[in-house]
Amino acid sequence: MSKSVKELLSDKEFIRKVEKLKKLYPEERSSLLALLHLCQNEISYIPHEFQEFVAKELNISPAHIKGVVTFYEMFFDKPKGKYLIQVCRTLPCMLAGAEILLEHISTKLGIQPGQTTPDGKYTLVNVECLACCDKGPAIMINDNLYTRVTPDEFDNILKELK
Amino acid sequence: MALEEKILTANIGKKTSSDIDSAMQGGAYEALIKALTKMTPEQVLNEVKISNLKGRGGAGFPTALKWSFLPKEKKKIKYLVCNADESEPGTFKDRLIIENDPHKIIEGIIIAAYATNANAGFIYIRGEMPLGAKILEKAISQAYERHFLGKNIMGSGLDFDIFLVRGAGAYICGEETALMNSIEGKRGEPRIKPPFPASYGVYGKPSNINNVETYANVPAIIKNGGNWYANLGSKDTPGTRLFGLSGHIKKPGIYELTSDVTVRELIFNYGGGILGDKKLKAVIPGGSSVPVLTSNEIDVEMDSAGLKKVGSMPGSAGVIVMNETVCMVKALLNLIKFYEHESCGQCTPCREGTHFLRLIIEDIEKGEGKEGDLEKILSLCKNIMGRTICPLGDAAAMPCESFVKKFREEFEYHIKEKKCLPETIKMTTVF
Ligand SMILES: Cc1cc2nc3c(=O)[nH]c(=O)nc-3n(C[C@H](O)[C@H](O)[C@H](O)COP(=O)(O)O)c2cc1C
Ligand code: SF4
Ligand code: FES
Repeated sequence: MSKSVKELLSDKEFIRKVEKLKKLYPEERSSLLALLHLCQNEISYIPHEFQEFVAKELNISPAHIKGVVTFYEMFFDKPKGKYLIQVCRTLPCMLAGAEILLEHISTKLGIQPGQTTPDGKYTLVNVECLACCDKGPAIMINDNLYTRVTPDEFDNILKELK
Repeated sequence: MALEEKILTANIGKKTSSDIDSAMQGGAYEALIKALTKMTPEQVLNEVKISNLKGRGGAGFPTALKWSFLPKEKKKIKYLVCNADESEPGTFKDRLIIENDPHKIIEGIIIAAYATNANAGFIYIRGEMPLGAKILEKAISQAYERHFLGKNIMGSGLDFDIFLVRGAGAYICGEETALMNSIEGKRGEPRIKPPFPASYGVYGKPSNINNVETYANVPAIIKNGGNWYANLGSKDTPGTRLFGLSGHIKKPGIYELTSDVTVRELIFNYGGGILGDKKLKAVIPGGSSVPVLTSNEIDVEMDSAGLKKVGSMPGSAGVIVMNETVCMVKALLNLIKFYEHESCGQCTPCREGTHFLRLIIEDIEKGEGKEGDLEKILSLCKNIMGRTICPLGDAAAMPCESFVKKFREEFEYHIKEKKCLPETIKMTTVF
């Protein structure tokens, strides 16, 4: 189980990382995306409490933070599965077979894009071009990129995920 | 005949080329040392001007000219930005340099800083490239250790820092002013221009933005001279480019070639021909945003002059190949869904236009198209183009217009017969 946001904000190590990121750029506000990434890495999403915390830290309105969190595709303001499976859907991957792959994954996991499996293990989403179009169909699972993913190949990858 | 000069990929394929020692064995930072010790900033700028280097991000703007727009006063704070947001469908060239030869990018940026007297640089890398971000972070810290970054670089008097910013998943952040807003911790919404970045960029300070591949060309220009570069390949777009071949091609991948290569040579000589040994049907020559070509339009060079003859442009040099099994309605639906999804929503013609285009194209694809739909598509395109804050509107309209104009019979067949052309019912895939 990952930490709760309360635990996270009282973790000294985490606060040290926050302080470091705040000083990284010529102006503090540039650290916003990095802080949101940091939170999401730790607890898989960016809860409201963390948004308020960052708002205070950077002296920016909470509404601005919410606007940013909801603008960027990679940020989640609700919990997601342990493994985020992102399937590239744009043209070069489509030509390589992305639709067949997506259908296979969808059937295999029993969920549609945008949904999470009931056990909270997998969230399936569509993404736009992952910049490896010569090796489609491409998918990303959390931080890892997989290329030339056939349906069989996907089953093998799935077996490796604990 | 195109040249296979290795400028950008010279060190690629060597396992450790992202490490500074190996990179330096391959000649990294020699151009920077030459610039700092033997040349004035004006001379550096002049060599880049002579080289006629054009931006590789999509618009092909002359690089030295863009640099010269920055204010000359030494005291003014100025920023350089490197656009590593690569996310145009069909484009995967910057990733290759970022992950395999990051020092080439960093060296190019520092040389640009010397030429323009800039104070700091930002590399904005898309969020979906965590590996690239790690590699760049390490490369930047190595460059500090060797004193290629920091205060008084190699005793030259130049102070320069590079900051790495990670995006978070938004194609629109590749647009230069949206990217600057994103660096400032804002939503990635493009700004109204003017003011242009050269006077009002990051934090409202004069800023210059170039693509990864653009900066990566600079060291070779400084090392070998602007004239050498200007005489490589094409007249209007000299030097090499990283052409990315994807789609129905036997040997997909990146090919470093001069821009006088023809579309046909790229596909058949370098790419090994069409996947499935089928007939070629269509090619998008420069990333998903540029007008499509038919199979009769491929005997032109891959530079601006060549592609202009067939109503298109080199864009990001991402070449998407489609064989005869592709339904053009389905292909266009895929593209317009992308633009609809990526529109930031600020301008009505773009936000509503991409939405209506998607609805109409989706209906045609489902077999629910109506007479007059094609006219509607063309008129929507007209009403989007040139009427938006940023070029995403045009980028969405150009494929729609060109698909409908160049493959009109197929669209009409779809509307009348309510189904795909027989040969496109089962599309070739790689498995
Ligand atoms: C919607 C949109 C997306 C863009 N995406 C990118 C991108 O991912 N990478 C890039 O270098 N340029 C991109 N551009 C072009 C940039 O705005 C800018 O022109 C470019 O970075 C300038 O660099 P250059 O002069 O070296 O080509 C995009 C433009 C638009 C309108
Ligand atoms: S053209 Fe589209 S993406 Fe660009 S600013 Fe307008 S709404 Fe946003
Ligand atoms: S289209 Fe899938 S990686 Fe580019």
